[in-house]
Amino acid sequence: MKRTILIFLLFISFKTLYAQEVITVSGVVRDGGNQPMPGTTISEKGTSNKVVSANNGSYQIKVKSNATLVFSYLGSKPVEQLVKNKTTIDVKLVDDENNLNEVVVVGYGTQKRSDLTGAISSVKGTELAKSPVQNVASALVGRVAGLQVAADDGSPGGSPSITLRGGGSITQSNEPLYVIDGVPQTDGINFLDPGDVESIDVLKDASATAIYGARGANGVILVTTKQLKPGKLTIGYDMYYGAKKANKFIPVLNPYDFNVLVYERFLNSPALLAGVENTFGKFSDYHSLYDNRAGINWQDEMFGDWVNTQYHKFSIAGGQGETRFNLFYSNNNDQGIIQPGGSIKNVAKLNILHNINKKIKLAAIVNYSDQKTTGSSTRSGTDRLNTLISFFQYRPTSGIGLSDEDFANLDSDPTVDVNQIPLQNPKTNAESILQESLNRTLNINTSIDYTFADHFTYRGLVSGRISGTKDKLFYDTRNILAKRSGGAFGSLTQTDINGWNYSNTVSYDNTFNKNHKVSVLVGQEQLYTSREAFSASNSRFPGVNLGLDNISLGTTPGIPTSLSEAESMLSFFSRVSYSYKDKYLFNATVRADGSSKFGDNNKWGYFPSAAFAWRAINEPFLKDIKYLSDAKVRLSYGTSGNNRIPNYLMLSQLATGNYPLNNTNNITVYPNNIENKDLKWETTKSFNVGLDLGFFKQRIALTIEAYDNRTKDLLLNTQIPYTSGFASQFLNIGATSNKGLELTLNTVNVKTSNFLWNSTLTMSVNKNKVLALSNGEDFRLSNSWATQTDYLVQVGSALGQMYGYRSNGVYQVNDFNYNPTNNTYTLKPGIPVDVNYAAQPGFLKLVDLNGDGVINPSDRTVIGNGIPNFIGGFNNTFSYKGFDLSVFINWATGGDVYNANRLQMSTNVSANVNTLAYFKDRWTTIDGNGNALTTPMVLAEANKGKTIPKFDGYGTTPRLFDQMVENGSFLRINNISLGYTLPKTWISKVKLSNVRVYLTGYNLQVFDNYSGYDPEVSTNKTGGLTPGVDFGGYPRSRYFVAGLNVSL
Amino acid sequence: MKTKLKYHIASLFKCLAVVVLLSNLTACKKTLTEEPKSVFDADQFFTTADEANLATLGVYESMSNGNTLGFYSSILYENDNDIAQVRDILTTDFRGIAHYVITAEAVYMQSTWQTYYDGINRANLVIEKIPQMGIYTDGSQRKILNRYLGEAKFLRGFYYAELVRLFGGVPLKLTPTHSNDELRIPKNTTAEVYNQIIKDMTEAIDLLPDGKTADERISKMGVKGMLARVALFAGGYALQQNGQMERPANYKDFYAIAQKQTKDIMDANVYSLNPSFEQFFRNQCQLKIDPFESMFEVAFYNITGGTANSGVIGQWNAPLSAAISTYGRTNSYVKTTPLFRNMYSSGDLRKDVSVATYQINATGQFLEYAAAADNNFSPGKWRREYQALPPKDLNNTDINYVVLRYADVLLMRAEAENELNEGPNAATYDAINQVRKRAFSADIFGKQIINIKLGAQGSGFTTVPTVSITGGGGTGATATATISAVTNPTTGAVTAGAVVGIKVTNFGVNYTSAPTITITGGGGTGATATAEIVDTQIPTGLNKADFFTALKNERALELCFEGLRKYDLMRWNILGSSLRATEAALKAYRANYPYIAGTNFKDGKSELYPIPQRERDYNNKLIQNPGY
Repeated sequence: MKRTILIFLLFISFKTLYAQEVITVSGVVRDGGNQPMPGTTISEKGTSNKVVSANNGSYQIKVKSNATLVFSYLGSKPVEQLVKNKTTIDVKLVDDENNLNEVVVVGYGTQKRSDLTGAISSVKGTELAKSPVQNVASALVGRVAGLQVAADDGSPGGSPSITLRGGGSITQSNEPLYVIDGVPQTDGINFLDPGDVESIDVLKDASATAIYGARGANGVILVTTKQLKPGKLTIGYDMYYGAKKANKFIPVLNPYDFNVLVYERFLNSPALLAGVENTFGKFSDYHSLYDNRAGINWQDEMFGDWVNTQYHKFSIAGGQGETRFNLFYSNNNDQGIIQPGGSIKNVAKLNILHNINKKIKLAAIVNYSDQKTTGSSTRSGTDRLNTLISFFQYRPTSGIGLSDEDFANLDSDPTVDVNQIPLQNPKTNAESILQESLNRTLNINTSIDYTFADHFTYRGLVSGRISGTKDKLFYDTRNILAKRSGGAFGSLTQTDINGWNYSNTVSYDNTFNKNHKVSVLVGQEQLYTSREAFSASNSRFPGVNLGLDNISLGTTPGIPTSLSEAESMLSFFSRVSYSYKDKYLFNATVRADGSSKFGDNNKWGYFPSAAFAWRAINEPFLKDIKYLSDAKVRLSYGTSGNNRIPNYLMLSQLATGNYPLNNTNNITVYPNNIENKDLKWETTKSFNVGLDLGFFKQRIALTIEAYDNRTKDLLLNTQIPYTSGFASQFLNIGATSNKGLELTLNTVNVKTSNFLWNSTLTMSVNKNKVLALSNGEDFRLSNSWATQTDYLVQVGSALGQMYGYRSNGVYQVNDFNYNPTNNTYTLKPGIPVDVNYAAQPGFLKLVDLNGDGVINPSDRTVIGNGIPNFIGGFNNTFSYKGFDLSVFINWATGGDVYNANRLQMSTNVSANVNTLAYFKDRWTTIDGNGNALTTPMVLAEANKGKTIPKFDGYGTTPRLFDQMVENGSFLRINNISLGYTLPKTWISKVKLSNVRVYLTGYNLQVFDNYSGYDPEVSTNKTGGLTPGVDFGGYPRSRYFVAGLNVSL
Repeated sequence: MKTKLKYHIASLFKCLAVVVLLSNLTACKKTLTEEPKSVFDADQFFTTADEANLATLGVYESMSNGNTLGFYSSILYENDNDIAQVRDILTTDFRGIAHYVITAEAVYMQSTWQTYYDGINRANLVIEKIPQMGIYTDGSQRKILNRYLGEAKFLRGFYYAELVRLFGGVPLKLTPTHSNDELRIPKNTTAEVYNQIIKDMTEAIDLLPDGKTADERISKMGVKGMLARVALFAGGYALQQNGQMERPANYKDFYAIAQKQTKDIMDANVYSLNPSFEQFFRNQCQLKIDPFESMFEVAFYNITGGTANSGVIGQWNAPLSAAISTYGRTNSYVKTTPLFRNMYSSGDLRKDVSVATYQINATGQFLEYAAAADNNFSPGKWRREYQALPPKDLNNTDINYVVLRYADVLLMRAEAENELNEGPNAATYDAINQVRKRAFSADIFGKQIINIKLGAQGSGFTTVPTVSITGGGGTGATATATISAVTNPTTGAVTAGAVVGIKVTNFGVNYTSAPTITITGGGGTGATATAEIVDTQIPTGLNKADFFTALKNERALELCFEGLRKYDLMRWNILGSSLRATEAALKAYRANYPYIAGTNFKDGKSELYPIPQRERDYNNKLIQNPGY
């Protein structure tokens, strides 16, 4: 802070005043509807002299008698007027449909779109606000070419991960850098109110991102929150209220089919079959008992109801002249479709701007946000104990002697031995787990802009962040896990992330001889982030307890843990832009970053970039082509980095553990990592070619980008032999490439005085490839639910490869020799033997790919890829008089989903467990009377054409094979929103300035071929390495909301 | 215009200069220096004896988990053998490991390999750092530091001994890993690994102080005992890369090491047998270190019953128990066989401690297995009833793994003497009979004792008859009968029954021939019984081979289920043949007896586990073991 003031004082000393002949000009600014326009900036061209129009649109400015005045207002077409000694100049500003004049936020500044040399896409906040979602990232789906938004699943409060242009890192995060109002964020943007976004600008190529140096390689997302506009005091109320419900159920076996399955499972164990008959009745009675029995649909029980979602925002904004402000409070309450559970988010924000004089502007933003997410995750529990799996597997009927209603109220299945595989009523499970996560974040940003000399502006920015998350998890005595571990248990975890950031920039803008436009920026930035965590747990709470609100009631406390770490970064950067006659645009940036995380031998990284653009439209030879309104070619090349690694890797760390001598805890110390003093940034070299074309006065605007990104010196958490004492080591090794094409097309299809129809189409394809790895070695890894490795990273292929077996139907009767004396089937010689089971007719037949006669893990191959390669969005907005309608669809193709739910449920060996409906058509071993089919002939006859293995025909351990990998391509009707703005004549009588009502349907329909809930799913994210896994993913819902915007 | 531009540029550079000046280089350097807060920086560590102690305990920690001596290495990998197996004849998951259906991808061995090498790296750090410490080089704290150094060397040797037993020749890594180390190192031979282990352990003996330890830390005598064990393995058979089971030509040199070390331990008279075999296991189950016999244990204890520092001893290898019984759940995956139970002579007190013939149901009742279900007999040494109740966790226990107890030292002595002297000598008999003597209870010990077998059951017994024992040259034997009479609880009327069992309550002393048994009184008639004489000691005058057979059986009877059997058979080069013989015997006992290890075992392959596939993926210098 001291430094900021010092620099500030220094700059004051540079201040120089030029005495010139001046006159006073005044006038009124009006809009297309002849209404006065407050807040318009009126500036003297080529100087920093400017004023802002008052409430009635009037202004007064002192300028040189030969000056040019520029009237500009965001979203309007700027107007230039020569003063020529006139003292009164009235102007009319009309809405600007020409996106070339759009102001684009770039790193540490803004530029006009027509001046851009890099690849930058922009989205307006008004579009994002149409999705009734809690976080900004979810609303970005399909809006930006090249931006992939991957939601884990449909859980409330969930925040999706974003990848731009494929992502170059293998083991480290590919999340872009988020910058909110100039402040880089270390931990996402979840704390923002999506309704508070003015615009989002996505920096995609190195010419744009290199200014962010070591953090720019994954792209930069610049969020600008609602800007302060001068004007009269405005009080606003925005709300929506709606209902949502799951949009899909996955069919399971009905009571009758379930009983047949149970019977078939136990047919070979006469002793146990008696128990089955006691519970479910005799096979011969199944039809009469179950044919007309609805049973219990657990999915319907768990999430079959409509739940509410609502949003309210109160805002007050105003201020004319020197001081402006904006204050709002918003509340978003989004219930989860599985109760209890949901997410409540509160945001309060104060934004103040004060112009000390024409040259100095102060601004401050205070943003407080809290979000409380409750409810147990459907992803909790592994394997057969997973919560979502229990929705499918918990049996649909009580059998005989107990009504289904009574069974639905039991805490657990009375027929299943807790000793073996306990099954809990999903409702009891949901109710007996108290899970709550409360995040509170306070951001304070202050900035000063000082135009200390003509053409020179200094900007100082200081921001601080205090953020804390408290996680509570408690299993009460009813919960099966509590029962299995001797009583209720729980844990409390508090994580605090605090930090500050400050930056100083000086920019210089000038135009020489009308043709030479020069702009220079130099700056410095410093960042500090600290992280602290504390966790306590207790278990064996007595039956009567207060949960985690009195953790002392537990009788067996765990060892409390804590963690503290900090990182810092220091950077210098500069950008130089030059354009000649608005035809030839040059742009160069360089940044030097020093980071605490990196090795003493590589503390500093340097990231240069250069770009050139040719605005051919300004060439004389194109002047005659009337329909062409823009033609620009852009070329850029540069480097940026990725520094997403844990702290302290350059040091040889000793972690602590425990060795319980004499039944007491004794602290131990042991090596935790292999130190790497040479560790440095991951570097991405990116080449981008862009083409901007505009037709018919920008009624059609087309942007095409092609890029080639190569990432080297990957920060690879390399797998190493265990003989080293470690599993992995961070090295700068390996390389990847991403090549792709992006298209953005904006069109104004119809434009009459009353009717307007606009479209935006975004499409992108990306091709990812691993170019090199440590020692050229492939590596296999497992997503966390499976013990087997099921993903493969290899040189020459894309990331995200699913690795498993190919299947070839089921073993047929004639694959076996039959021995009638003991009724056994033995595989014929020459038929490959599966090491996992002694195959029987009807068992899943995997392909012996290497032809060695044995089906074992060496027969695995690549059977899918979880990353879609073609994504896009198509938005249409219509307006007619006061009505507005928008229809937005998005899609992704080329990615696969690893249906781990289905795979987990394929092993069907547990007692009294239900399964998916497709099992009805399985290979059967019984006839219609429940008698075993023994002879080869009847067995073969009964199973002609069957492709689904018999009840135990998948073996006892799930193995990934091709049928469990499904096409994840989809097209989603993301939202349709219809609004009506009440005529001013009506509302002015009740002193309102604006009233809009609307109806929105969100996630209305998904067109896909996926058998699970939603193909847009990724429940196991180990970096980008295991995408597309669907294990226990929370079902998504369809929303219908009605909303209201009022301001007075 | 030009001057103005110059001015602009000049001021620009001024600004830049100021910025750079403000963030001058020393400030930068300080800003960007890392100082870890929640972990120690190894470069700053190893200054005090306490710090060396913590790092030494870190080496111990590597064996206190399920990957190593809480589960896989101590329980799972010992199966299947000739006296025990893992239940169910499935070949998936851990059952496949036990039943010799094993692939290199199996995660079990991978975890074990990883965890032992982690421990070795921890030991390497301590072994490298302690001699560099100021308080070591100046001699001021050398004594205590030498102890830590000795412990680290012992543990490194011990971990390699575990690895070489499981995987054969493995890479020897003897320095802590640093960033530029060559991590892809080839295998050493079995002999090279054993030589290193013997070197480490021998050095440890010199470094460690005399006397017992008060906790699970290794003592000097403990290392000597472990060295004896390692020497027997080094001198025993092991599967070589050529697919042959071979032992070194100078194998007797290794037996001589075992002989010397065991003799030293016995002469030192620091350890002895617990007078009660059962009490030893009760102590173990009650989380007490046995005051007499325990020579080296791995500490297990988790305050909440969580997985860290926990094992499955007393859960995996105990009689089956229902989760909701007061005893808590046991999985009871390890099963022994009725044939092994029958190896115990009558009167051998180890029989009913070692083998449990019952399960515990949900109401806490003990239910004996029917004859047709006797394949469910389980190890009884760590039964739930011996343990502190209720269990903290359904899956995990705090019971220590006893790596070495004095009884093993006695049996190793006997084995080494027999081998080196080409037959048993007095020391051999003395050692093995110390174990036998305790097995038949010290206070009734005689050379021979009696056993009583019921003949005709008779009838008409309403009260328990008297069993009298006469003749046979001895005295003191007593026995009681049990009858099948039933008393009506309401009327008190007694329905007469037969004699259904006779239990010897005192085996007496000095019997030289079978005494006469008479059953009198109780209102009934016709019940008869005969007595027989049981040898409690190993017969004298055996030749080398016969003594070896006796020793082989004695090791099973004494040390069953303690993590040694399979490896004993392996070093004697009879693992495959024993498994096949066991399978044949069990099938003869009952045709559908579930036991498949004999069929699955492949000589020249199954003696070793495969090198974990992951390890070979990242180290192409590692050659796979034969047959995989």
